[in-house]
Amino acid sequence: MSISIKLEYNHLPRLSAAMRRKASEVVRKVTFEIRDGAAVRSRVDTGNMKGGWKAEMESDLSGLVSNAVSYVAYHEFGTRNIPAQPMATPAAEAARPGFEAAMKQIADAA
Amino acid sequence: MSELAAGAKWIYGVLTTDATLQGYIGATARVYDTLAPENATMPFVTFQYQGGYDVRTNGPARIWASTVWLVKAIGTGSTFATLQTIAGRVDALLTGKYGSNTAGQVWCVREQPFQLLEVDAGVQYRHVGGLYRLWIREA
Repeated sequence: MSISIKLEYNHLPRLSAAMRRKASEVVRKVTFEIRDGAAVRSRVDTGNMKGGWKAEMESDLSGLVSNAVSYVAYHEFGTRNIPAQPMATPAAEAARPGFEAAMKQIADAA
Repeated sequence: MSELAAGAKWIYGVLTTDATLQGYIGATARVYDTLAPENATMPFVTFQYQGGYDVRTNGPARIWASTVWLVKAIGTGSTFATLQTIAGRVDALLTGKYGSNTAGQVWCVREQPFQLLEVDAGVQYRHVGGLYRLWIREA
């Protein structure tokens, strides 16, 4: 079972091309930041799960962080007898204030 | 750091004092912080902090902590039906609610439903619940 986090900012289509480029840079930066944050938080035995985190841009304003390793969800959310070791969730939460601040800065500068 | 204590205390308190939920998971309140004891009777409910961040003023002072918690019912069986009933009651007790205790004040909404199937030695263990956003201000 794989997990993924999709990062979107829905009001951006109204913005100018220049703002859109800046917003895209922010989405890209934060998408990779979340991937790195998830990897750092990963339990390591073989390194398979830690190395399984991927970041990609689905479009200029949509980034995707995912991990296709079959057991990653059991670590992220826990099982009946293993406590969760959250990776993607805290990485996304940690990135959220910076993401929102950067987007606000772009909007304020318009 | 008392925000996380306030959050855990509030969730536990709400879920262990509801007669309807006790009807589903037992009067001894099988609600566990992070991990159930080995061989705990199923179904039971667990909750765990998943992540969060501090919301600040312009200076270093914290206004509150914005936190995410996974709250879920876990049990065996070939369908999610029974657990969905439990998770529904948990959601009714938490979503849109406000509470306070000695550690702080808590506001709660559900951000995402949650469902997971775990198979171990041929036995299906099902998890149903939600990811809950708790805004917590320490006392």
